[in-house]
Amino acid sequence: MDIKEGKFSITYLPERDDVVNKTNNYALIQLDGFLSYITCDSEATMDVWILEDFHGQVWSKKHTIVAELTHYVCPSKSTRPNERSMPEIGKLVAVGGARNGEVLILKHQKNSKQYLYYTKSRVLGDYWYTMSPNESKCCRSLIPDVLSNLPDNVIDVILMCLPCKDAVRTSILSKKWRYKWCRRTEFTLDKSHWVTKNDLLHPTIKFKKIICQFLTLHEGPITKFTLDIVNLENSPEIDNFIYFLSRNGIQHLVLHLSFDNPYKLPSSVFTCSQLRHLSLHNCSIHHSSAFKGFNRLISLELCEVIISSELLESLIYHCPLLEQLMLVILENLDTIEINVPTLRTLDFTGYISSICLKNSPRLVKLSLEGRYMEVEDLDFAKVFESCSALEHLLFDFSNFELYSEDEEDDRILECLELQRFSDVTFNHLREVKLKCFGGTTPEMQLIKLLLAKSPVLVRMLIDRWFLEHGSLDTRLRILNETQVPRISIQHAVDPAEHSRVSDEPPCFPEDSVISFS
Amino acid sequence: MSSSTKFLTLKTCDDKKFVLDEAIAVRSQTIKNMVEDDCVSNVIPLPNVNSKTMTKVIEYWKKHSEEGVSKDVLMDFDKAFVKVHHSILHALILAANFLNDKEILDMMCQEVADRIKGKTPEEIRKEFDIKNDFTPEEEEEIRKENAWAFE
Repeated sequence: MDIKEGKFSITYLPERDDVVNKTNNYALIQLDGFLSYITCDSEATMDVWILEDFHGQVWSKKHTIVAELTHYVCPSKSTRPNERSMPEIGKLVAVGGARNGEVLILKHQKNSKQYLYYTKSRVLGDYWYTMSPNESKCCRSLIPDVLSNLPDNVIDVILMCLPCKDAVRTSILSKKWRYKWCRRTEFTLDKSHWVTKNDLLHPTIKFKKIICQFLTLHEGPITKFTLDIVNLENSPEIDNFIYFLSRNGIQHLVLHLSFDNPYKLPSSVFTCSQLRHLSLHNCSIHHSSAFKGFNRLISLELCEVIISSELLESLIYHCPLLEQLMLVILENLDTIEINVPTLRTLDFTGYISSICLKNSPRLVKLSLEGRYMEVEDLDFAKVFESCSALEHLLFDFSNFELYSEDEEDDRILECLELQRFSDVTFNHLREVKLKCFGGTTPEMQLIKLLLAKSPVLVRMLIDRWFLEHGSLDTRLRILNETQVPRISIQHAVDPAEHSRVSDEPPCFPEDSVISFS
Repeated sequence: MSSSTKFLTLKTCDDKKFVLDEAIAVRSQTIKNMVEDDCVSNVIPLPNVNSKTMTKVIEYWKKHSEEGVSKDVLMDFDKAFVKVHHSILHALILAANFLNDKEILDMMCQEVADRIKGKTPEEIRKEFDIKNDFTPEEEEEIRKENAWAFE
């Protein structure tokens, strides 16, 4: 009823009336000056609605009390067992509110016991216990700042789970928190730290500010550091910082710098003797007399770096435990010998002629993406000489000059002659991927060679990008030629376009599959 | 039951006893060390863990020791497991820390981090009931000192 105007009107409940009829557990109370409708739709949850706008009939759900998310405090001296456990939420009914709607007063339907529910802290407690003056602090002191009182090692783990910025922001929470982030052992600094709305300072200047703070405040080791920054300008501060990392147990170092203006890597990188993972993108690497080898390095990534062949060879050679090697070398270097018996995966992009694999008895994954290769440089026998454990092989023909205008080029075919591979067998090769396959004679020769030399081959995936642009005759010829007796062919291609091809039955449903995907 | 199944009795601080397959209980590095060092008599006391928390921990251990449970089921279980009130989360963290169960500890710490992530300092203080004991001047100083993190 509008008292000013003396008029009655109907107010509808936020949920349909039939719901209300089914349950008799609901209450209408006044909460912080608003009409509030409190209802239980199950044993364990209670919804608190308020009528925000009387004229517009706008209800909004203020709180949902869920038993699982509620902390129950009980009188510690209580002897009666029924007081020890939380009452069922569904058995409670609201009778009033207090503290501007922050506290709900609830009554048990059966035993009329009264409880208080604190909406902010989601604490439920016995009315007299939580309200009595002697123990009024009880409710708060039972859950006092649970976070800050955790052991340091736990707080370290929590801070480690946070993004770098969030972790540093905890410094402002309270005095206890001010320097907690300084023990963090991993940092990732990327675009989100330089590109902000507020100011447009050069990334180098921002980075310098951050490292200056690390240098003054950080305590203990930094085991993992990732930097992703464009246009980093050489400066003594940054070199000093890398020196700082080298003395503080760095194990995992990732530097993604910019290509336009390659950063000259300070020699202190070579003194990080604890390194297990090193990833360098777009920087120039120079010889350092301090380099004694990375005796613990397991994974090395060098992408678009400027480095001499001698240094690259020596760098790889001085990593006795290296298992993963990724090289993206866009320059045409002199051939380097990769002689690492522990190597398990090798990803190489660049001039195939720049590498020569030697002694790789544990190599299981080899990925080669060629770049403007000269036909006469290609010598598969040499590349495969020592990869007896190979399980996965990937060739990317996109930049491969494997085929030439004159398809009958004898030199290519010669180097793929089966006879030349009499000593080579891939006894473990299970999967081959050929990307950007063009269907030329040398490529076909390569496929035949791999099929002949790989007794346990399960899958050969051929990327049909080039193929689609070839003539139908070429496609048909390829299919005919790949129908080696023990191979079945799976056509994972668009059926409409390739219907004529797909009509051919697979010749022998055997163990190997060639997919055109 | 195979004769090799050994049972351990764990006693929580509120004198409740839990009888548990040793193979499951050794998910706790602390209990494992005790078993390996052969200093387990009949009952292993857990003075830092109450029965309510221990029930949750055992629920987790049992679920993760079940055979033939799919990854999706476990993921759903874990998701539901961490959705608890701060005080239970806190108790579980302390228990996992004492029991030295890195799996539960890491999962719980990740949950706390998720509850902190993306919030303003004021929101975090409110959420976790942290009292701001800085003067406005001090707060300003810290904001300046770490300006890059507050942008």
